[in-house]
Parts: sequence; structure tokens; C-alpha cells
Amino acid sequence: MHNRIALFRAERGLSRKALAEAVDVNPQTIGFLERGDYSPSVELALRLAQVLGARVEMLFALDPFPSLADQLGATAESETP
Amino acid sequence: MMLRKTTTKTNRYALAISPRVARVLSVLSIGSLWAWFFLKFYLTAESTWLMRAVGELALLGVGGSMILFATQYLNQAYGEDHEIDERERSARDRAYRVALNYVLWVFVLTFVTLEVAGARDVPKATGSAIGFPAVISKGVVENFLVVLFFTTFALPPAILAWWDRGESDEG
Repeated sequence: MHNRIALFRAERGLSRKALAEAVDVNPQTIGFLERGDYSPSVELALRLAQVLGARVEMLFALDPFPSLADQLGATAESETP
Repeated sequence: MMLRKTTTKTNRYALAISPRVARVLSVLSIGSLWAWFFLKFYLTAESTWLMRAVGELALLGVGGSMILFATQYLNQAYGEDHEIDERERSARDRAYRVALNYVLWVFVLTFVTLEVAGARDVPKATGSAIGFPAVISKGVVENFLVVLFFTTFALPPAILAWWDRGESDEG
């Protein structure tokens, strides 16, 4: 399973420790999640989404997420008249 | 090595040692306990200084197991379900599975060894001792149980230490 926890966490300005406290897990668990070494339960995924202010499918996906650069490039192209 | 609060929900105090130190300690304690058992099994009582040195191995093994048990891996290995998070529970369950396999293999190997020894032309069971290259006395059985107890006791925290990547909580 792929995720964007690190991206959203950085955007929200949260440390691993702060996010861990918010979702009631050990800070090391956030590291495991971000690296994809551990797949969370539905409950933890929902709690993470709630704290990070994102939908679950924005945070987790079965297929790799497209890179941010590709997405921004595609958006810029579509906006060009 | 210092006393520090663990990062689990209970915030218990535990000995804070690095994963690397815990790994070395686990190999030393488990290894020295088995070394003590086998050396004591085959050593004769005449070599007293050697017996004393072998006795030190037991102390090292038991002491190492106790230290390992008092580390930050204590909570994860022996904590209640509500005291650790779901990833820690999953790791703990895997560590228990490894520890169970270890105990089962020790029993299987012990049984096979006794069967193989029994099949050879060695002295038959007499009283409280049974035939073996050396006589298996009550003391040998007790030593075996001590080793099995302390190594099984130290194994789950040791396994968790081996799996610990030692990353910082910050980031």
C-alpha cells in the first residue's frame, strides 16, 4: 500500500511525535507508516485522514501515487490556453 | 544506559539502551546461557577453575536477560494490548511466534538427542539418571530448565530489538 502521510504531515507542519500523539500511536509507528513498512488498520487510516484533514483515498492507495511534479505539470498544461 | 520513560501509552520507566546494544546483549545472554549449559554438561568436576569460569557464563546470561527484560522493549513484549499501538501489537505477535518456534525446536532437538543417545549402547536408566554420554542428573535437567526459562523470557524483547530500526521520534 502506498501513502502520502509524510507529504500531508509536512504540509500541516506536524512532527512525527505530534501526529503520533494526535492519532494515539507510538511516534516510531508514524515512521513505519510513512516508509510503507506497515499498513494501518481502517480505524488508524481514518484517524490519520481526520487529523491531516484529507480523505482516506488522498492519503492511501493500492497503486503508487503520481509524482507531485507530474501532477503540477499536468495541471499547468491544462490551464494553458 | 539510563532510566527513561518509554514512548508507549503507559509512559513506564525502562532502561533506555540503543537497539545495537540490545542486540549485542541478546546474543551474549542467550549464547552464554547455552554455552554454560553445554560446557557444564561435559566438564568434569576436576577442572575447578574452568567450572568457575563456566559459572560466570551463567551469571552473564541471567544478568543479560534481566537487563534486556528491563529495557524499553519490555512494554512492547510483555505489555497489555491497550498499552501498545496496533503496529507494536503486530510486531509483538510475530516475536511471540518466533519465540514459540524456538521453544518447540528446543523440545524437538532435545527429544531427538535423547532418542539418538538412547539408541546407542550407553548405560541404561538407573534411578533418577538416564543413560547418555554423560549421566543426565537432576542437576542437568534443572540447568536445562534454567536455560530454557531465561532464553525464552529474553527472546521476545531480543527479537524486537533486532527488528528495531532505531529511528528518532522526531522528524
